[in-house]
Amino acid sequence: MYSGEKELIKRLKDKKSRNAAFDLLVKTYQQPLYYHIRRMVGNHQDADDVLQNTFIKVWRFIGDFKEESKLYTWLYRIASNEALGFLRAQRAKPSGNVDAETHVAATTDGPDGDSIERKLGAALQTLPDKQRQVFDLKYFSELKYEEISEITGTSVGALKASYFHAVKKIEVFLKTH
Amino acid sequence: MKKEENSENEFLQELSPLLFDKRIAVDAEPPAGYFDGLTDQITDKIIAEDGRNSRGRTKIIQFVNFRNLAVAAGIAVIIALIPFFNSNNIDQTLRSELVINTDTEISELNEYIDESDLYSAFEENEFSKTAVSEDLNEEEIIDYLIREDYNEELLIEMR
Repeated sequence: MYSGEKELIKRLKDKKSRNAAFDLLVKTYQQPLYYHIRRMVGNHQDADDVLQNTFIKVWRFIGDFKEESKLYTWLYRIASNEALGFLRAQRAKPSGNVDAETHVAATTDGPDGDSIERKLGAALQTLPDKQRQVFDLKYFSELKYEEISEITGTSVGALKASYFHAVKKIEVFLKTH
Repeated sequence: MKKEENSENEFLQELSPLLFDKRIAVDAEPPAGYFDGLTDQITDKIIAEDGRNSRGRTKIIQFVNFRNLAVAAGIAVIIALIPFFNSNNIDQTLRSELVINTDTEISELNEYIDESDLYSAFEENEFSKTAVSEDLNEEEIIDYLIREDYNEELLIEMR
């Protein structure tokens, strides 16, 4: 944990500096967390709800943060759990709709890139939630297995197996679609 | 460590060239300006939630206070009234005994006192000797009444 992060946590736990520190925390982590959540839940509206709930939980539970892990892995853990919880709740609803079509929008130039991104987005939707979470954290967020292990509470070995399975499934999807 | 990572990357490259030849980004962009106002939105939500929670907490605290007060007051009243109830019970018992005494009919009393007891009590007090067996003439009776300061008119009538 670098000193800037420690200082931020200290300020977050201090009532006097809490508001300003929280503002800084949101500004620092809102984008990576938003994209992670959005790839998990599929659309902006839901991603917005989940992201806001994530930061609200951070605000409420920062006092309980023991600093045994890095701040951003703790943030990812909250975001991931919130997203998984949201997806479970959506599935439990009779009219649950995770819209695969709205999941992906092209961000790179050229028709080929656009096509493969859309396909990848659709392929992600075919993965089980936890496999998608692992794939997202490894492939898109480029976290180390050890960090993902901290976030998900899964062993590194199990994470590797899960990631390879996900890659294999996506490859098959991309080839066949 | 580096060796392990490289072999893993090679493995992935072989497994899915489409994914690893070139990193694919699927970062769908949020509406323009979304990130600018996010902090304010979250802060507003926290304030609103805190407001709701504190209102809820106040209600609970009030409810708990009233309930505790009611229970405490109830217990205090019961404790305070215990002597009253006790004395009231004794009083009622006494009263009920009195009522039985005054309203008890002779027939009911007979159940408690045997006739022979009454005779023996009468004999013990020697009523029969003094009042019944004394053979008094009229003169003696009048003298007695005069001594006892009885009404003269009545005495005249008797004469």
